[in-house]
Amino acid sequence: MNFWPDRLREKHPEFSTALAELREILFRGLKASLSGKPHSDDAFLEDIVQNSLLRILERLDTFQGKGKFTSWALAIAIRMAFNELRRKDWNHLSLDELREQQETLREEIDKGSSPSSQTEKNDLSKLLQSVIKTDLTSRQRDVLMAALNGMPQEEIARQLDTSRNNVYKLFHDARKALKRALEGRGFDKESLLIPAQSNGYGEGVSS
Amino acid sequence: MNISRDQAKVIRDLLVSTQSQELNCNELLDKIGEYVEVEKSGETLSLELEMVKQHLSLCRECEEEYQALVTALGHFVGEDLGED
Repeated sequence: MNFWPDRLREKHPEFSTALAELREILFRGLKASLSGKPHSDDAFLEDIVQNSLLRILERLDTFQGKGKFTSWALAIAIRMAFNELRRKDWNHLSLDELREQQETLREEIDKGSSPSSQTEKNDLSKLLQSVIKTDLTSRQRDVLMAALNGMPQEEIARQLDTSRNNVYKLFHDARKALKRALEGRGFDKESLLIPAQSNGYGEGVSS
Repeated sequence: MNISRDQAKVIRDLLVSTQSQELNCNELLDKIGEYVEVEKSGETLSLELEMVKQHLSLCRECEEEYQALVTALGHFVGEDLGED
C-alpha cells in the first residue's frame, strides 16, 4: 500500500515530514537528471522543487497508484524543470519569423535542385507541400512548421496563446490529416512511407 | 508553407508512427513513471503503456523528459523511498 498520498494531506500528522522528504527526493532527482545542463544551478532547482510540490499537492487526487508515487512526482518535477529550461534556451524566434523563413525555402528548393533530386522532390516535397496547403488549417500549419524548426511545444503554446496539450492535439490532427490525404492519393506505408528512425524533428532539417 | 526535402523526410517518418488514437502530453505524464518501472522490470507492456511508447516516438519533449526520469530514478536504486 502506498502511504505517500495520505501523508501529503494537510491534516495528516506526518504532513510536514512527508513534505520535507519529498522535497529532498525531488531535489536530488532533479540534480541527477539535469546534471551539466546550463541554467540548472541549485537556486533554479530549489525554485522548481517548490513549484513542483505545489503542483503535486494540487494533483494528488489524480495519482492513479499504478506506479510508484515518487516516480509520478519526479515526472511532474522534471516536466516543470524542462519547461523552464526550454523557455530559456529557445532563441526567441517568433512564429511570424519562422513563416518568413519557410517562404524563402521555395527559392532555395528551386535553385538547389538537380534533375535527379527534382524527381525525388516531386515525389515527396511537392506532394506534401500541396496537401499541407489544402488539407491543414492555418493553426495546424503553424504548429507543423514550428515543430519542424525545433520550436519547443511550450513556446508554440505561448505564442498561440494555448496549452501544450492543445499544441500536441493540433500536431496530431495535422499528421492525421496529412496521412489521410496521402492515403487518398494512393500512397501507403509501402509505397511512400519508410520506418521512422527517430523523433528528431527540428534538428538539422534545413537544406 | 514551403518545405525542404529534409523536412519532407521528417514529416514522412512522423506519419509512419501516427495513430488515430494517441495519448496527449498530460495523459502521458500520469503514466510515464509506471512505464519506466514496467520497462525496467522487463514485463510486457499493457496496451496503455504501448501508447506511452508510441507517444515517446513522436514527441521530442516527452522523450527528453522520459530520459531524465530514467536518470533520476537510477539515482535512487537501492534506496527506500517510502513506497512500501
